[in-house]
Amino acid sequence: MTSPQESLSMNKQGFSWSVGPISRSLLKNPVSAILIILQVALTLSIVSNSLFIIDARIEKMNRPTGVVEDELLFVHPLYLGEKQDRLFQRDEDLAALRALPGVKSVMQINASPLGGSNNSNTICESEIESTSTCHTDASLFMGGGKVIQSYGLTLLEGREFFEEEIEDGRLMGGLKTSTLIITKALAEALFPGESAIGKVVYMSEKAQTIVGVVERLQRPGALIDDDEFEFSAILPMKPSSYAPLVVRAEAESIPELASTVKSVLEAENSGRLINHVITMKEQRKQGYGDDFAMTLILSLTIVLLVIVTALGITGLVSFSVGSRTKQIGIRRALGARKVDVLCHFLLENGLIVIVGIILGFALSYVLNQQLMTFYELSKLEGVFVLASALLVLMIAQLATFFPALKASRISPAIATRTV
Amino acid sequence: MLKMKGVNKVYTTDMIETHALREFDLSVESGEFVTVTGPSGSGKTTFLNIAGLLETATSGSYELDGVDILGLSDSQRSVLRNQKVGFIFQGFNLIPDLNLFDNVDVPLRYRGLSAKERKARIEEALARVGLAARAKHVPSQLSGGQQQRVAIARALAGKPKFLLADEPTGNLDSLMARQVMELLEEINTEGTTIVMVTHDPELAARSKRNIQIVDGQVCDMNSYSVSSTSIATQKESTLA
Amino acid sequence: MFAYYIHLSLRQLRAMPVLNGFIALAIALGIGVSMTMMTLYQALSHNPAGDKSSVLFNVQLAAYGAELETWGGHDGLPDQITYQDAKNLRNADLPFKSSPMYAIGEVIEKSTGTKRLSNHYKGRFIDSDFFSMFELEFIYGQPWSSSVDEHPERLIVIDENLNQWAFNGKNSVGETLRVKENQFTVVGVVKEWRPLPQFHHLGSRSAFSRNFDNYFLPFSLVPELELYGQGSINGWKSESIVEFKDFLQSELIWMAYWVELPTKDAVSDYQNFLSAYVSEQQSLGRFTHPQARGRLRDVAEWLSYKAVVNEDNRILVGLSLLFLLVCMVNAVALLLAKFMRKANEAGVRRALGARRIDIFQQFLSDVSVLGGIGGIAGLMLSVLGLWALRVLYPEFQNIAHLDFGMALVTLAVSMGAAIISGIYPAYRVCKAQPSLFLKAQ
Repeated sequence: MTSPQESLSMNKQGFSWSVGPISRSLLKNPVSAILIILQVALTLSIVSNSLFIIDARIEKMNRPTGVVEDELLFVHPLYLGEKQDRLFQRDEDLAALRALPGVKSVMQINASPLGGSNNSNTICESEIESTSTCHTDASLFMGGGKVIQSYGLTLLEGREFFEEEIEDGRLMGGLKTSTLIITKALAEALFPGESAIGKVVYMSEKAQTIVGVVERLQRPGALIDDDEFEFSAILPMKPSSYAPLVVRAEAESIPELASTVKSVLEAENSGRLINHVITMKEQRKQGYGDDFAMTLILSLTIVLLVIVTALGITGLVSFSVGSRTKQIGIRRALGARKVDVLCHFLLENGLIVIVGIILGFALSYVLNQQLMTFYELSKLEGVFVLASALLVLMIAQLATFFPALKASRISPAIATRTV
Repeated sequence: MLKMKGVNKVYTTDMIETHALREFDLSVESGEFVTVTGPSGSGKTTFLNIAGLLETATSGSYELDGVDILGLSDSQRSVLRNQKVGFIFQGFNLIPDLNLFDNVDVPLRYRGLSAKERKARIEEALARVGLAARAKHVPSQLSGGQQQRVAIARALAGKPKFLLADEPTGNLDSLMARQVMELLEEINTEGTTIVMVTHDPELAARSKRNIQIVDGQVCDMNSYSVSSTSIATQKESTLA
Repeated sequence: MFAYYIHLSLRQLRAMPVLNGFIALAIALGIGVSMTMMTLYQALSHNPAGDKSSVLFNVQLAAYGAELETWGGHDGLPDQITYQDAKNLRNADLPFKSSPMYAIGEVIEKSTGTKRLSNHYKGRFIDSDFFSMFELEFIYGQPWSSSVDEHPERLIVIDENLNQWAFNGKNSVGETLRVKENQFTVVGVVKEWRPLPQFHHLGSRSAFSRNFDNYFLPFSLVPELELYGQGSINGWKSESIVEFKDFLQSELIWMAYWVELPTKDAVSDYQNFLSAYVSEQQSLGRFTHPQARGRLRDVAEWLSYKAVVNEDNRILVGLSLLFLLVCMVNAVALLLAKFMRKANEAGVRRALGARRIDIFQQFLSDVSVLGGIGGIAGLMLSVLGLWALRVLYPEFQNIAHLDFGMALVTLAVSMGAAIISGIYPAYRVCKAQPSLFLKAQ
């Protein structure tokens, strides 16, 4: 046997509503309020953590590479025959590319800051390689003497390579050269507080003198997330004949070149294959494809989540208005203005949402803890939680506004109808 | 037909206990037409809810058509209600989404009759109240009197022995009220027992037997007597 | 009675189109988003080895010098091995099928036609056991004989795609084909072999690479053909490498090694063999690191060790399930509102003889219909979502598809979620005293 108080209270419309505080009308039907609170809390925790991940990804994608991205085009050839033939064909191709209109500079290089392939090597303080002498790992860029010119890097200190320092490369194995140009980030890590020019480091048990420092050159692959993403060293060695050719040209002629370069080279010589041609802009899109996808998916999730939450709140407030039509009419008959009714609903809902937001703070923290435990995510910053809370509150009030407006238009005449 | 003895009904809230019925005794014989009057809050509706098995008494005994209600489960009471009791409400209580045919169909569905049988009964019941032609209409397309006649058809379709009406004419103008009343009397002459709660002394006077409930007790069981006209003048709100 | 409930449920959809629309939309969004992510996750975590998963083992060796603190993965095990170790393992006299392997991406030349060169097709050096271990199906011919594994011959097995390009799909056994200016005789044509994820060489080729193996060459030819591998090559030691033979002698790792061990005893036998091999190499002055050891991982372990399902995918699955939870909470709230609005009807039905269970069933039927509608809409959203994933992640091109089974699961999850969401609201209405709803309008 249920007493009426335990049962649904939708018909128990007393005058208490018009005089009682808001909280009392909430307590009359706590389940709806609890559901809104729960929903707001979950939404807040998901939105804040998603925003946080999105922010980190955007920051990563916005990292400058140090190269003139708009002006670069990569041509991946596949040379056949003996090594000498391959090198000859390569030089022919580089000359042909250099002669094309708008081209400023060409080179063959083993790596691109946004490309897939990477050679890296340990940098040691002495000839003996051990964990005590080798602390840093750097990516090697081998493009003969033309890396700074063709990539458009900024030389901060020292000099470029001399012609006599440049050596032909090979696919595997030891270094033949003994000079290095390194990035500012690497220089500061190796020699904090002093100039790196003239200093000697060891790579593969061979002494290397640092002759120049460039402002920045991001390591290949756009993969490294840590502080070492600019630990790069440029060598005066040429790459093996398998490496791609880089064309630097006026930014506006890049699209034209990208579409014609393959046929130009094939017309010149059909004895090798052009694997593919890719602009650096396209390379950026590919390199950061996963991060872009993650950003997009999470943004969409946030939008959908906010829509769902708004739908829920609108639905519940509409229901609440519908079941209190008579009470609202009575209130209006007793002198409440339209704006009073509107404010009542906004205030009542605002109260519930704020409780949800407070619970959401805790949930955001818990979710972040989980993400930190199971995935390599860092600690959530408060600003994302606050921003999300503001967003959720605004959306919730907006979702309340329309049904509340409908409530304010209820005619006071309703109060006098018996049925 | 209906035998209540020493029935008590107490509603308990956080602060107060309300005795809606106290030591309530009533016996209605098969085929009777009984009107129930009484002031607002006297316990008329509680009596009707208990009589119609919508609620159970806090204590006391109740026998409906020879069946002892005490100790029946909710679902047993539902089955009994479905088979023996028909309801007519002041507010009609038709289901707005359903057309007239489907509305009358509702109690028959719960009885598990065949489609053919149901169709025959629905058509018969609607014809009986003069609305056979409007079977496909929805309640909002009808006048109040017509809606109440549909509600009567719905109550009749199940061929109940016992019809409970809670102010069936309360929302109707006098012409429609008279039509509905005549219909009920006709049904009664065919053998259905009717108990009707009303505020209208005129209607109460038309019945062979009128009882008054005051403060949860049967106050006066005189047949044919229209006592205390003063009470009848008390118009009240539906919030009673 | 069931048909009656469905009839009523469809009837009431029209009576409250906005509220019902909101509920169905909430369910559809929750299902659409979570099923999109679940489908992707399921495809990513698929084990393509099937029955063979528990008998195929990848071999790892912690074969590096004591001068390093650690190397390779988080457990100090590199994910590939050196040519020297591959050679030693395959030369061991053991009764188990095994094969070393590495991929090449050389130019292929056919003898006829206009465009005779192609760099589209990828090759792999393997031993003859590979074909039966990884269950490749032969259309024509057969694997080279096991004697070729010891005495090299220039033979090649090609897949149907390469066979189509080079020989127009005819039986090409006995025909010749050039791989980087070396002539090979075709001994067999296999059906296209595209395991996804590509579990067989995760150290070198990404699991969802769009490069697949199109031809296979005897591993015994490696020294004489001098073809460098395509993929990751890693080293820890400074070595002078001038010639290809220096490369083979080096401590560089670029190979995978698989062994088929059909029983538990076989596994422990092979484990013992690896321990003995490690000790032997240590006595020869290699493998000087204190954690030097051999490790076997079956396909399932190998896939999880190499984290084929990456972190982003796992975060997205987790978040999408939370999203579904929000949608369900939302559905509960809206269903509560909807059922309250129908409380009067419930009261009337109770008065007319419906039992509590009848009302409960009717309301659950309502939510099932909504769940069905939401599920179908969610299914369409999943199809859209997966299409978007294929655009966003080109590497998932071949896997991000909804199959019939997953579609059924989607519908079932949707109905299930709707019914779970509906239980509490339906219970609330059923429990209520019917007489409460009968007086007021």
